[in-house]
Amino acid sequence: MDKTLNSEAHSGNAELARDAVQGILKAKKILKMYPPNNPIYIKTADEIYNKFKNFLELNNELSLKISQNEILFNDEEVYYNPEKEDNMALFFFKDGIREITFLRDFSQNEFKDFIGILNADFESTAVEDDLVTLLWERDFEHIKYIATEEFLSDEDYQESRVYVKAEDKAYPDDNFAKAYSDGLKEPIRRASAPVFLREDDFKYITKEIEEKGIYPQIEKIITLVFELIYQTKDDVIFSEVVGFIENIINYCIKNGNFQKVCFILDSIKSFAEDGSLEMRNIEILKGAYNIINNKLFIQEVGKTLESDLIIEENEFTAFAKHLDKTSIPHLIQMLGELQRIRSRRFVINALTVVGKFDVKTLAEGLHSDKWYVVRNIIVVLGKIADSWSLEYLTKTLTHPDPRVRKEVIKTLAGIGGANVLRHFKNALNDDILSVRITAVREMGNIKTEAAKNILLTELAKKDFLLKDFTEKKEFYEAVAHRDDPQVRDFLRTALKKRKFWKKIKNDETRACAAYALGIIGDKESVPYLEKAKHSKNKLLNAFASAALRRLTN
Amino acid sequence: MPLTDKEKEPKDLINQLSVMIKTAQLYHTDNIAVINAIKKFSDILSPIVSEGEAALELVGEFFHLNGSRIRYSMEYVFNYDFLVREFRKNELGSITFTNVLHEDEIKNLLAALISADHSDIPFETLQEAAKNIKNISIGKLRKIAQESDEFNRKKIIKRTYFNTVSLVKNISNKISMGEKTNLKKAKRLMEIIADQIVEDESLLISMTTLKDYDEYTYYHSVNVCILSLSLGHRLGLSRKVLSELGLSALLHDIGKIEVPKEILNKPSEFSEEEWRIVRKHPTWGAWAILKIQGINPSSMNAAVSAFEHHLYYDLSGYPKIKSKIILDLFSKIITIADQYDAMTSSRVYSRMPQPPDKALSIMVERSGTQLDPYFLKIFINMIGVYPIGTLVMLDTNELGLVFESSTNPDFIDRPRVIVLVDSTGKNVKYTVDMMEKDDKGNFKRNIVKTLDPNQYKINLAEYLL
Repeated sequence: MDKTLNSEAHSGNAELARDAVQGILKAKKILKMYPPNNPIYIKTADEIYNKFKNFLELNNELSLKISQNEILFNDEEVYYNPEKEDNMALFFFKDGIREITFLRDFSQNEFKDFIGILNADFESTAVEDDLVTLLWERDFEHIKYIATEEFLSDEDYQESRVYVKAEDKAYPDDNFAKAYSDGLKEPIRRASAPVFLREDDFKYITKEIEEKGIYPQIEKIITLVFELIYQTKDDVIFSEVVGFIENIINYCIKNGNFQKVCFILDSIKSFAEDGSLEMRNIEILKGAYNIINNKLFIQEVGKTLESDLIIEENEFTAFAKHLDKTSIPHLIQMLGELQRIRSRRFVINALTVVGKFDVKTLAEGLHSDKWYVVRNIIVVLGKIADSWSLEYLTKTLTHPDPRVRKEVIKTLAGIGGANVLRHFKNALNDDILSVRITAVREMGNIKTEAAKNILLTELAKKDFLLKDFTEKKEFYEAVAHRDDPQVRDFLRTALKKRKFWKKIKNDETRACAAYALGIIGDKESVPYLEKAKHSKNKLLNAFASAALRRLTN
Repeated sequence: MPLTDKEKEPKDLINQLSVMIKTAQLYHTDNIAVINAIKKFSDILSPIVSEGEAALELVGEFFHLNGSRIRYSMEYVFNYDFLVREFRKNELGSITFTNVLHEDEIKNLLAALISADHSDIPFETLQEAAKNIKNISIGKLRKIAQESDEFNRKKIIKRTYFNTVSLVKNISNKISMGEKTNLKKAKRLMEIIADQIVEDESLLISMTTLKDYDEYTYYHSVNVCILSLSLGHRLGLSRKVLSELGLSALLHDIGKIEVPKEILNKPSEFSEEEWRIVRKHPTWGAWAILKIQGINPSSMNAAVSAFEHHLYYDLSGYPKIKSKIILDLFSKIITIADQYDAMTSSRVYSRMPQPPDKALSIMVERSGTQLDPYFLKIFINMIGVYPIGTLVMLDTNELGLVFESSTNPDFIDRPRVIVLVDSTGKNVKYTVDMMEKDDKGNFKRNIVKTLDPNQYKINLAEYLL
């Protein structure tokens, strides 16, 4: 009877252990795809953790033995995979893990960290550690493992030889008798007194440890490299050491540390100017500074921007100030490749900083076959806003993509100036409604006499009546931005205007006029609006009523 | 990731137990300060014992709660170390709380601990005084390993040591050929050494008495690595930092591969020109590491240590520098370990090394100039006033070798000794603990003088390993 119960308990445990192992497998596959704050990640992680909990509620520990292709629980196979690909047993086995044990009280925090370790990108050169090292460093309270040291004892390990050799080297003629007799004779020689630590000593030590962190600060390594430069007189070594600076810059970029890159670049500048270097060496050093402008480097910057690293916008902009005009084509190319809006914004900012040194090269970006690159370059040119920019911008008003044309209208409006209106006037006749509306809105925003006259001329055209209601409304709203007697008079006339033919279209126009009068706040138009309010046309009726409410409140 | 409340409890328990004992040593147990401390302790303990008993045990240098090691936290370092000392002083190995405690029970425990403080047989006194406390039981401090385990542990430690020597040799060869080395293997060895230090640092430190003047640099690098890791462990460095420190220590002298062998192996004193070349090894080391290993966290740490390990605390060493440098923590540690091992090693040009205690005396003279005074204090406490390998004469007219430092921080001048000549002048081999007391409570033996084992050509390896 007992035997049966034991056997049932055993098979139940094996099933729970299998569940937990499958959970690890799932965690390795699925959780890699999501960031830890993603709801799918959280839900899946909770489910898998519960599998461990289920087991550990009934048992003190879950101990798994690992071989190349299988994982055993109590000698029972709970995982098997003879393939090399996606083999979880092999994943543990190849780094030397032969047994892994999860103890009761294995916490959710520990589980999350464990999953984080399993999902580290061990193929990447950035992860220098193997699985055992990462587990060891995390020092889990409720995970124990046994790792083989076989690989540490390869052909290099020659204990017996080295040990025998070491003993051989030791002195063969022990002479205790002499030592003993000297010991009895010699005057007393005492060792130094014990030293005791005070609380201040601990404070100093704690501070030192806190300041150290795990890795040396970039400032420290740069100081070291500069010292290496000071110490060398050999041009070849000098070039190699300068190469270290380039590698350090690259390392900082890969880690998204643009602030440190700025520090390094500033330091190079000061160092080059401190008068301690010969001219030829200054040129080599400048080469390290200029690395940031080359194509491969800018591509690396792009990868960093697209990664999950947290990059501060102001730090990136500060970095961009160190770029020169040779970086412009690479930055433009990067704009065509970046996927994230935030990354693109960073690069636009960088191009704004550096583009003003060579607007012509920047404007090359307007020929990109990617409409969004053209649009981004328009934004950049708009921010630079010099006379050259304006010239390049106006050329894109005929770009085939309406999104580009809209962008350039907005940008030109931002720049302003007399010439801009000429271009807008053309845009009022664009084939695409949204482009025309953009042009109308921007003309309204300009609020000049000239802009008003262009708009009124358009409104007065015979065929204006036939335009789509939305577009007409935009026109009237734009006109309303310029509040003067001429505009009021025009609007009142339009509101009062009646037609026998095309009555519906005319009422639409009247509704637009009512709307504009409401925006202006023209109290003299109240009687006309009251009348229009009783119109049978629902649209006119509604707009007149809304304008009246606006005027009376 | 921040610690959960559950993970915080054990550390807080240690801290509050320590605070409570300290307070009780100053005031009567009925004093409000003690009662407040008891209340706080009880608040921390209650949720733990409500889930079952709470067994607090001292194993080696660490406390364990119900079998799980309690993390050493710098936040509570002072109180953690105090409690370790209290336990050791009273030969107390464990306190087990079996239920939620009444205030009087804790008061009785404190009174028992205080009575043991003044006793020659502290644990027995404590046991007698605490026997009637219902929900508290105590256990005697036990040695980490039984004699039978000692042999196996030594074997494992030796294997690690020689694997590391072999690794340094390999790394040096590769770097001298301009080949990049994969440091994964080195990191794994650092982890093993760090674990062995946590378990029992004496055994590993005794390995550093192994010196080989033919392959001095390799052995020296491993010895400096072990001594640095031991010191780092004493400082409470995290595991990851320890691993980085070990690697940096292992590579600190890598620049010597650029020093011509004829100079390194010269059997006489260096000329001024030869010294000029030897003094370049820190610069060459940093350069070689950055060139071959590239830029990564470990190589940056190692390059900084290689460059700074002869700069000295007051920056009076070499290489001469232009910038204002603040010495790195690793460099300060490695400099101490480097000087100690160099002074106690025989080298081609200096066959007669300094005896360990003499080396320490010289280092004390350099405190605050060449060496960081704070870290040196900890180093001396770690090595002991009589370091492993010191030949000592006892007041019983016995001659012996120190083979294990004292684990009692209040008695670091009372190590364990292998007696090699007894009081009658006969060659023998047995071990004694300088902490042993006679019936009257006096120490049975005292060290009266030290001698230089090198002067008498005593093979340390034979006795210590």
